[in-house]
Amino acid sequence: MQNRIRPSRRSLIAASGAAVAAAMAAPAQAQSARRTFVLVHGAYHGGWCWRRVADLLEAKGHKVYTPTLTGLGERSHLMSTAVNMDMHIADIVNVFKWEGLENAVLVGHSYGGWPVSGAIEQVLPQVSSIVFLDAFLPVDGETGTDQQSQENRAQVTKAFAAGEASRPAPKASSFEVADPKDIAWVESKMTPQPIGVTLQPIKLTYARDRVAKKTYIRAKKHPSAAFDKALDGCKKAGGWKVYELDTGHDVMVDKPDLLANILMEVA
Amino acid sequence: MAVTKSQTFVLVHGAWHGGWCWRRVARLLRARGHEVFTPTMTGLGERSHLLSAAVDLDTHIADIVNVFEWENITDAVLVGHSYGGWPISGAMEKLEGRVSSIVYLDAALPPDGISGFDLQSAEDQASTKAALARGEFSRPVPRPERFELTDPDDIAWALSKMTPQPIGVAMQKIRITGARDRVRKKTYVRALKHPSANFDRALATCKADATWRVYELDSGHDLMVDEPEMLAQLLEECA
Repeated sequence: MQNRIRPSRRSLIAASGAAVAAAMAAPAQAQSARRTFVLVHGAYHGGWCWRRVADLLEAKGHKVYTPTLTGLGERSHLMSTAVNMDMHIADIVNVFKWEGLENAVLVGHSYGGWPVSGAIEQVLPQVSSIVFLDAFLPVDGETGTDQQSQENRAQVTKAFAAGEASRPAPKASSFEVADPKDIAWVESKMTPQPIGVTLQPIKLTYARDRVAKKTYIRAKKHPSAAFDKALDGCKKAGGWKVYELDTGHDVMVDKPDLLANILMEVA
Repeated sequence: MAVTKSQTFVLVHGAWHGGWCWRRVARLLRARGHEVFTPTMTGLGERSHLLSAAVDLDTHIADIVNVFEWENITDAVLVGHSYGGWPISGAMEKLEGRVSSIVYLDAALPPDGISGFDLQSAEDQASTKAALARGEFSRPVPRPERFELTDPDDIAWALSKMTPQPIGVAMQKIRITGARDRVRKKTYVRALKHPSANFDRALATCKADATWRVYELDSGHDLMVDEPEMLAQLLEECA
């Protein structure tokens, strides 16, 4: 109860504006209340990547769900060309339905920004805080391939047409994971990413903008024009709490304490 | 009881159910410091949008094995309820050395080379065949009273969450070499209020084998729903 969460000191948070400064100065609000977190992984990852953060949040008494999207991680035996955006959205929405979740904090990492943006269209009343963690903020009608270079797009579309369901996982170092044990762990668990999810246009009425609390977290060591643009959009739009961290992309792997603290702050 | 060591439980649901059914038991076990996984098998519960004719027993076996692989689970208590006895028996073949205790909770205990269909009554076989002939790939949800649920809130909860059971899982013969019999601790729990010739036979088999611990409970089939305290304690005892 007296266990207030404070932004970790050297929190690697380069205060990026009044919002963050205010958040850091403000007394921790009802953070001792038990909350429900739904953590949605990014491309090539699975629910497994949240283990450290989930353990930390659960140790504080929170309830944590880390669904693995179809075709990935422990659901990789379900990989097929039928895996699409609607399926990944349903993967999230159905956890809310079958577990009866309410007042949840919905978090999407990286690619997870896509299905989270789609899912919130259906679970808006059950979500009180939404967090985009170095994540995509797609616009209505967009497909994943729209963000790729023309060359990449042609390649992926051709592979898919030839019956290839997925793209191989990259090296963990492309997410700035540096600890050798972390690299070994991440590389032993990463699985190919389904192509189908990038071919289906997402339908948005921008329910995500109507969530009571909205947060965008940018991991600055990870170069990404798309995430820079998303960050910029959030800053300009107002109503978003923004964090700019001096970390790599897989914050849940190499900075679990920092991330757990931020998630409790924005809950 | 004197169980203080933190254990990892993997709880596998039965037909028409999903990970949701373990909610009360999972909460109790977690409150006592244990780690609990409640995977929902493909085509059911929050995975019901994945229901198709392609869902078979191998799919459900992989659903379980892969949780062990991706979560690096060792020294686990593996629990299968009802139909869950099938996929946990199959999963054990790939999990030897990683499961220290296996629990069949009013569950199927299939022998090698048998399918769920083989064990159905002639009447059920006929309706399964008819459904397949109509191009269906699932069996509709029964009334929760069939699992002896009596509390109106429990009945409403179960009814709102249960989903059709894929037929494909019953049409594939299970391949096992006896890995489940080589688990160090083996327990069979029979819920006596639930009539089942198959479970009676499984109970008799385990009773005749001194390497199995046996419980006969005066409860209904869905004891994770209506007897969560008792079940959580029992699972800790079996760990």
